[in-house]
Amino acid sequence: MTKRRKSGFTLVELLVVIAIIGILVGLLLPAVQAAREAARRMQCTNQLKQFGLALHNYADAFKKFPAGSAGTGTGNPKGNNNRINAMVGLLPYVEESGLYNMVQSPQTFNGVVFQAGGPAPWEARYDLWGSQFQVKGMNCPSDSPVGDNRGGRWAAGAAATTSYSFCHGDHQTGVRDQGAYQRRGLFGTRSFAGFRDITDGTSNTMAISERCFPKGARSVFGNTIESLTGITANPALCLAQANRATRQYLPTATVSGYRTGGTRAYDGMPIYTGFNAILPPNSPSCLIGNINTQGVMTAQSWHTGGVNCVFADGSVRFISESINAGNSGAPEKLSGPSPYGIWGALATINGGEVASEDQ
Amino acid sequence: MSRWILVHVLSCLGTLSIFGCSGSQAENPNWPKRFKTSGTVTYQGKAIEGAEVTFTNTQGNSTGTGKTDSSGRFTLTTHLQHDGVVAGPQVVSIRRVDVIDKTPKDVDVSAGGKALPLEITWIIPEKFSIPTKSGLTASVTESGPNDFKFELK
Repeated sequence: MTKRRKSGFTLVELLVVIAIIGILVGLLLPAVQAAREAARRMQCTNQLKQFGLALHNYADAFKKFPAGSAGTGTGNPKGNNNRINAMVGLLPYVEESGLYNMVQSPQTFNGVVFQAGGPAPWEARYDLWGSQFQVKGMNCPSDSPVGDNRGGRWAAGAAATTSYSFCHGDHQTGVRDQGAYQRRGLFGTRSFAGFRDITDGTSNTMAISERCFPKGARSVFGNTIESLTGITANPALCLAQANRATRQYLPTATVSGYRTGGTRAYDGMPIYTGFNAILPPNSPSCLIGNINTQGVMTAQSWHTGGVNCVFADGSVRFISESINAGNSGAPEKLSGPSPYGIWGALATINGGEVASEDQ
Repeated sequence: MSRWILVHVLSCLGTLSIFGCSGSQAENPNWPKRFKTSGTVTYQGKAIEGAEVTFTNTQGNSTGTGKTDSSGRFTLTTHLQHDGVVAGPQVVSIRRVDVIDKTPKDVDVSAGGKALPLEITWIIPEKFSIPTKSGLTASVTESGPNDFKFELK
């Protein structure tokens, strides 16, 4: 009997080949995810560009930029005095004239009559503030929107959301509910800044950047620390509240019960739709007291390594989280060059800095 | 045997490319060099947990921060977790305060609800929390060991 070796692969060889194919597919998947994220970031860039153009068209029509928070009205249901943000004014310029016209005329929702201009931005009975009327272009595709539903309000659906936040300068003073505008950032309470106020140059001044929604209760993204007294003199205290590697707040930090950053698309309170350039992008946010008080409100996004930002000239640039943000331990300055490096300089309209985001 | 060589080469390539892939935050060449810095905080002889420590470099225009653990130990971070601080003379602040928000949880202050004032208790006196008034300094050197003891009274 002659023993003849058959040609072909042994079982071990086949298993090894399958294992290698498995490894290669495993390598490919992250690349696909990265490509998908790159596409989302480009779409986000485009949406911010639309808001940049909307700002310019608004400024053409009214000779001023919209205010970070404004509004009128008192009475019952509660009006939106100084609590409506620039998004409402920009609606007609992002092809949402229909929604804008509805807001600007009296409405009846859920059996309640609302005056023209709409009620307070947290009014759950007013459907136009709800997710039923969500403007798609306000949410960054990399972001997972979480509408405000605190205390069981917004039962018929969460509030409309936005991933985009207006630049309130490089300081904490006045960056709070109904705070006084300091003429340092492009937006603030009843700011209505004009092109001529931007003496640093429109290409060196940020208009809108991102603040994203939380994924997880102690994630630095989309969550805010409350009751951190002392951050006005020393904003670095805010950095000490988080683990920089895991991007989670430490167990000893007091995380606010409010989800912040765009959970109410039309609320002009800066913690909802504003940011200040004190700590570099994707850093923690902290307030000196409760949710209405002033503090550090940091631009954040789920894009890898930074945030998108539209400047006052309408250009959109990606700002790296390793941008020179100066000395985070320095107290704020309300005039002159920003102590917070290039990042702070880009947030001021009249700091007099020579800034380029390449540095 | 040539089949086996091919199989080996492929597996090696596969393994190499796995180790080649890594993401997360990376060092930026524009950042100045930092040196590992740590220390302990005690107040009236007791180790203090949860105190924020900041080292502000008086020359380098940068600040490192840390928070103490249950034994009062801290490790400072400037840009990346536990990367230390820029060498040179430092102004130090140490802050440990209990702040209790007395506003009831069901009052929605973001919707116009009335907030009660915060109740603030300084565990370490307030003056140590202000860099300009703390009177605390340190000198971080390139050679180390950069381990500092702050025994506050």
